[in-house]
Amino acid sequence: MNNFRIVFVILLLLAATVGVQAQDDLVSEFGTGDIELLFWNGLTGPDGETMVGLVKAFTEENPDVSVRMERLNWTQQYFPKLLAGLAAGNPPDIFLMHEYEMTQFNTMGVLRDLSDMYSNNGGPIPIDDVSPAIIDSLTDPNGRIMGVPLDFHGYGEWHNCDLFDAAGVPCDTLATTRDEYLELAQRLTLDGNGNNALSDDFDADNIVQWGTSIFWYRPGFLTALAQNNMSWADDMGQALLEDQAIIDTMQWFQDLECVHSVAPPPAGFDRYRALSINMAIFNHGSWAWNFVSQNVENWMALPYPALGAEGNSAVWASAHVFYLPIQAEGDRLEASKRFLAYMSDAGLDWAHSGMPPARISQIENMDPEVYPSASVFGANLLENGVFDRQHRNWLEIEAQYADAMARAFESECEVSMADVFPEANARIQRILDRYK
Amino acid sequence: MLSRIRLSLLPEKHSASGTWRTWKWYVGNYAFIVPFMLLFGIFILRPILASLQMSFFRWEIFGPKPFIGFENYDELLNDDLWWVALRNTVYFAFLTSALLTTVPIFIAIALNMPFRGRNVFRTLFFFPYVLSASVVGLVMRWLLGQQFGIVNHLLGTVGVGPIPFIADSELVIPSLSVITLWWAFGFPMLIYLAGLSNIPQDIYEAARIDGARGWQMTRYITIPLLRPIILFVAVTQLISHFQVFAQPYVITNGGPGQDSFTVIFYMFRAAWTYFRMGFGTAMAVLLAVIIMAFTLLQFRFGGRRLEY
Repeated sequence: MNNFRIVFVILLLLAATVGVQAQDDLVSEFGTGDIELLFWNGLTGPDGETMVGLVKAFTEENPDVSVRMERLNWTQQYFPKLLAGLAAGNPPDIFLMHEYEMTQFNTMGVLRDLSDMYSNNGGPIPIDDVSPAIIDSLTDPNGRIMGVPLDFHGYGEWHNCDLFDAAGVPCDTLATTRDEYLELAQRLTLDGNGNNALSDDFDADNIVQWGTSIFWYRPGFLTALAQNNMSWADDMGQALLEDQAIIDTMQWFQDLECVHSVAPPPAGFDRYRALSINMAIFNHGSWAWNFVSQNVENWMALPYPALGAEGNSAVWASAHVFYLPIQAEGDRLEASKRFLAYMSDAGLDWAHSGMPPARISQIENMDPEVYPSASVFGANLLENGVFDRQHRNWLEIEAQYADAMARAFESECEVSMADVFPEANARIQRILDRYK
Repeated sequence: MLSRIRLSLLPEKHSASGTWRTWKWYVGNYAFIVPFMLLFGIFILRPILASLQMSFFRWEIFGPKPFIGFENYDELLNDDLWWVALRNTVYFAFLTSALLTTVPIFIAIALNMPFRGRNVFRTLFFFPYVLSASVVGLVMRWLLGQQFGIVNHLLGTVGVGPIPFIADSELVIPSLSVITLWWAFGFPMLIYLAGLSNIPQDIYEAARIDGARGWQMTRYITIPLLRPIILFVAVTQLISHFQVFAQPYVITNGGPGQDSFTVIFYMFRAAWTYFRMGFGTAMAVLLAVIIMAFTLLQFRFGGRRLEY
């Protein structure tokens, strides 16, 4: 029995230590000031470390303020905890979300109007220096600006130059049409005998290097819609996913895997690690910078290619945005506003995480030597970035089209886009009708 | 004998002092269960009733909460995703319960034999049960990954695979079941060990004298005498695994596609991602009814001819 107890206690302590350590890594406290701020965000990746540095610098510059920062997984923990905090009347002083969640949370009546943070209302942030697209996305129907943007991130293309070299293709090659993109991916996809996917001898059962991949369906989908001047709904509240042009566009992506064998089956495929080993093009966001720069020896960041109609270069864009709860007041409100102004000014420091800043002057002043990816993505997003349509139940709508694409993309080619989009369309229409 | 003892404890009736004693007797006894009933009422019964109530409203935490009758239930029954989630849940619950009802019996029998280091093995076998779902999920994702997972790497060294354990629509539920078996079999194993220790040794001795050997004794003595325990484990496992959430949440996020999308996963999403508490609680109510129905069926068919 003694053996039992000793081994059990040792194992239990070991497990507890690991758990406590993991928890500690995501909670940070800075400063010793009397005004205590609680700041929640979902920056659990390497970008969170950059934010740690920024918050620390803020408390050093503002010694009367101390900040406790808690980082939670965006999709699985952050929103349940935030919602519970808001519902219980005990929210954080500052919380980070995206621009596309603004309408949903604003409809709940939990966000504080932050119009007074901008220069047109006497605030510290020059409104003309923030991308008009971001300001539009944060403005509610009453003309109030409900958040302060931290950055202007979005979709782009990462190349592994060693894999381009292996296929004999210059690393800076950027397709300008769908046909060019397919041909490029075919050139980059190699089998075990060194044949590419354009060769008659190509062995699709023995692929050792993939040309591209289909990943995180939403940005790719929204970019495809934007490049074809389409959307998942119109202004009249009509869902549009049964539109044949939308189905055809997404089917083209599925065919990269199912017809042309230039992309691996997406389910379970670890694209991050594959990029450093055997995947030449990684269509992904500006936030991949930390991973790419640390794990891929020779890489290049390029704007997302124009794969839509008539060379339309539109690309899905988004922004991390600071929000304050409606009940914010007193010293803590004043300190929170100082925090927001500081973060807005520190866009170039935040850009070390790979995220292009939200301020136009900061984007334009990014040195490509210092910001090799953020400068590329930032310039493209400023010109071509398109934000997603918002809705008071956006999270539920997004799940419908994301689920539909997951069903098709992860079906091993047994389910086509034509099979899933009509059902997703009906579901989105029900949601739209519910709130008409 | 038992009934006589009980009768002798009953208070006297028919007189004023007898009525007082009866009242005192009842108060005294009920006082023992009041703390439990209080906590049960606050933390179990009230949430259950509140959930039932919420399911008849369009309850979205903030804003007005209009009464909508059976609209949530109607939407649910016409919702394809609900049926997908229910199908996956039933598949997972039955497969996992079957594994967790049967496999631990044999492990418990093995660990009930006298051998050196038995307690260490019992501890090691029980240990995964104390791990959190997120730890198990992360470890399993690393182990079972298709390209870079250790299991597929080892299989590759003998020319097998790679096998998409958690990325294939056919394999994902069985894989989650096996993961759950590894994670959770410590609890039924302990229950079986307790049950085994209650089987009188003289039955085995008698069987041995009659010429019975290992498997025969297991089949004709151990398993029949464990039947009440097996029924208990089967019922509790089925109830537990109908409520599966953590494994698909952490390991597969409901995928590939929606092949590991389960009822509680959907309920969580509806309530905490879509903020549709009324719709989410309607799912909870329906799931509770389904679990109750299956449990009654288990008692109806599994509870017969129990040998104590």
